[in-house]
Amino acid sequence: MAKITPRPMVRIHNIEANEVIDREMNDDEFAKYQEQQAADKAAADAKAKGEADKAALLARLGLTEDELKTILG
Amino acid sequence: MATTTNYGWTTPDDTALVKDGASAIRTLGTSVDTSVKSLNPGTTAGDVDYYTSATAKARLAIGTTGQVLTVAGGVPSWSTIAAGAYTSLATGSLSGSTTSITGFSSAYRDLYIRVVSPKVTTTIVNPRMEFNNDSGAKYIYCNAYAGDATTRANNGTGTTPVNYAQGTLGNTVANSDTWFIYIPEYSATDNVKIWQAKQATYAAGAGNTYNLVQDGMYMSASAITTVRLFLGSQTFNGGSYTVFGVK
Repeated sequence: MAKITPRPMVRIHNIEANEVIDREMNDDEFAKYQEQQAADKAAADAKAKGEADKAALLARLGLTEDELKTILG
Repeated sequence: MATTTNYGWTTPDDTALVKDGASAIRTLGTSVDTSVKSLNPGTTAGDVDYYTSATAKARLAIGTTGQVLTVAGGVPSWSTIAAGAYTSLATGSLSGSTTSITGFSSAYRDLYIRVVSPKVTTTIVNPRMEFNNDSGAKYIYCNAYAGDATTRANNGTGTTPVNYAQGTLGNTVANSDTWFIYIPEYSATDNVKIWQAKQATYAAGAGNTYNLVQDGMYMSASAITTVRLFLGSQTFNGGSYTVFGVK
C-alpha cells in the first residue's frame, strides 16, 4: 500500500469571529505550493550557477573579486 | 410582616391569616417584578446592563457603529475612537507553511500587522506576503537592505516577499526579529493598493543583523480581506502577530 505523505498545513485566522482553523492544504493551495517550490529551486539554481560562472571567470582571469572591483572602479 | 434576605420582599408571617393570602401574594409578586426589572434594565437590542451597586443595575444603550466600550468615572460607556488611534483587533501565532489572517473589519482606515519573533524550520528563508489569496502578477515592490555584512537595493514583481533578503530567521539562531506591515486604505476599491513593510533582525554572527524597508503595490480594485504570510517551501516554527486597525 502506497504511503500517503501529509500535505503542508495552513492556518487561517478569522479575526472577526476569532476562529483559528488548522488544516492540510487543499488541491489548489498545494498546486500553488508546488509551483512556488519549483520557482524557488529554479531561482536558487540560477543564482548558484551565476556565482559559479563568476568564480570560474575570475579564476581564468587570475583575479579576485576585490581586484575586479578595483579595475572597474 | 417578614421580609426576604436580599431584596426585602414582604412575605406573610407564619401566624398570618389565610384570608390575607391573595393580598400577600400580590404584594410579593409586585416586589419580585420590580426587582427583576431593575436587574434587567435593558430595553433595546444591543443594550448592555451593568452593576451600579452589589444589587442594582443600570442600562447602557447600544453605541453607534465603530464605537468601543471604555470606562469613565468607574462605569462603562461607549467611546468614539479618535482619528489615528490604533486598536488591537486580534493576536495570533504563526503556524504551518502559511498563515492567513482574514475577517478585517471595514470600520478602520488602515491596517497594521506586527509580527514578532517569526521562526522557521531552516535558517535561510524569504518570507512572503500575499493579499486575498491572489497569486497573480499584481505585485510590484522595491526594497533597501542594510546589514552588518552588506548593503543593497532590490526591486521585483510577483508574489511579494516581505523580506527579499536572505533572512536568518532560523530557530537555531537566537534571533530577535520584527516585521511591521502597514496597509493604508485597505478597504478602498481604487485600482491599486500600496503597502509598506519593515523588517529588523538582530542575531549573533556576521550577516545576521540587518534592516530592511520595503514599499510595494498591489494592483487590484478589491478591498483587502485576507493577508497571507508564507515561506515558500518552509514551515513556521514559532512567532506571533498582532493586528491593529487604524482610524
